Amino acid sequence: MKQKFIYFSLILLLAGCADLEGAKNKKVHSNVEKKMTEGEVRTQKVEKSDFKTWIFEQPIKIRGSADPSAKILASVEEGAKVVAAIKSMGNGWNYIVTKDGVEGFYFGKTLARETAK
Amino acid sequence: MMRAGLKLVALWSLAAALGSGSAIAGDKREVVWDGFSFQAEQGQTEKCPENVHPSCKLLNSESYDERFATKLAAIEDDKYQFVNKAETDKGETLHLTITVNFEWADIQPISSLNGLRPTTLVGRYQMCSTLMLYSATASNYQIENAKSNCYLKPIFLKDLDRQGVKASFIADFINGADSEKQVNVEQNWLAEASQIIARRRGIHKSINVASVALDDSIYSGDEFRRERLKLFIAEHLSYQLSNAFGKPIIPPGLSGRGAMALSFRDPSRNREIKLWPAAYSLAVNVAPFQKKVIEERPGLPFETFFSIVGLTCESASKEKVLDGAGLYFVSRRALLTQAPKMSPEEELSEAIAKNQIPLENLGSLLAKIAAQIKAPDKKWVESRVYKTDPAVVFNGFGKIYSALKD
Repeated sequence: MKQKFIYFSLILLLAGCADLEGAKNKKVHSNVEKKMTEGEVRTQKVEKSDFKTWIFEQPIKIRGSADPSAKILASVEEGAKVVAAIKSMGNGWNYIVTKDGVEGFYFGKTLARETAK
Repeated sequence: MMRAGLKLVALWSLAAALGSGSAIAGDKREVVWDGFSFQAEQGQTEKCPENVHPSCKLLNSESYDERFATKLAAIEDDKYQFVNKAETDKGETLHLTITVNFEWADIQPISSLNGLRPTTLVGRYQMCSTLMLYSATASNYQIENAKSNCYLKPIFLKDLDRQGVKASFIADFINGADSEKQVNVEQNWLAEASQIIARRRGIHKSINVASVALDDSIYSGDEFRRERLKLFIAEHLSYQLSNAFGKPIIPPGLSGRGAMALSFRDPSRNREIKLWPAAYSLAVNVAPFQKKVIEERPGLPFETFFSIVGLTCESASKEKVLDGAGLYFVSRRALLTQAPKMSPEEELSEAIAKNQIPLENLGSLLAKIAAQIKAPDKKWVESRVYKTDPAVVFNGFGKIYSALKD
């Protein structure tokens, strides 16, 4: 019973944290409600023109730092379209900040391709 | 108001979940870390083939294996949890191994290095490995997912001892201090491990490199180097295909047996893992390395290097989509018109750089071929075919892509 309640509560947690725009795209599951603190994400300089629509060819986990043991901030499913600025860190990790305000890192160089303009 | 309420409930439930500890962790699917493995011949009993895999001494050591297992267990995932091999191994389980397929300390003969400074560049170390996720029942080991990667590190004279590269060089290569720009091999393995469990699995379509043949003139008389070069080509093509598609590509192997025999530190774990049947098999034929000096303008000579491969590709039903299709890559560098006075160290670096050009050329060509199979570009194909009809190559790449894309 307790376990069922925990599951239910966790679903509510996810629902409560995802903002409206994120909820429209069912393939992006976000666990954050605001930007991470400076200590967790090394914010990169991002211009407005850096935001593009990307299609993810593989599922990714956006983490608080470029480390697989770091907290998962959001999950993006295969085939999901995400409006985001993505910058390669040059070591297999990518810095990403989505239009919804999720900011972090994911691993995998060739996992996202820009949609045709 | 409603949203704030939800958050309160959510925060409470999160605290409750943390308090109950294993309630969430227990619901994650376990992935058993099997340890590092090396490709083995049938009946092979040697656990650590140090002559071809200098890294096995470190990777097969208990202390390193424990360290790596601890780091794997710390990987954060909402569905899977890496566990050490001793903890759970019952029923149908998911397993991870990292198999080191290829290592090559490509260095100048030790006798030619006498009297040089310790900081002299003497060669390069190359390693290719494959992360393999597989399911296991009592009698069957079936691959679920795979991801290949290759790594490179320059070797300096100070990194050598009489036996070859020092153990400290290998340790530094695998888990040495990292910089922001460069993750070490271990960090790459861990990051790939976090990804391999998330990717779609059970895709029974793959491509393998069935054979590599070299022209007799290449590294003539040096069988060890020729064998290393063949593996270099097979591994790099698999790695490049894996990267281009972002999807599992069959772990490389020249045998195409449909199963990969692996040797583990713990001999009771030695096993044959069933591979997916390959949708297509590639055979690569490497033409003699060629070099020409071209003077584009008077007094401005260039050394031009050509790599040419013949590519044969056959489907599982024996349909040949490419039959010896020639493709080439060319690189060039300016020649100095007046030979500079070089120190012995500079001369050696120059010689190594020249020796590397054919490998770099081949590596670039293999990367281009992989990228073209992913997204064939008529213009590129037309400009890079050698004694072959471009339309045949373009259509062949298209067929392979169709077979692999889903």
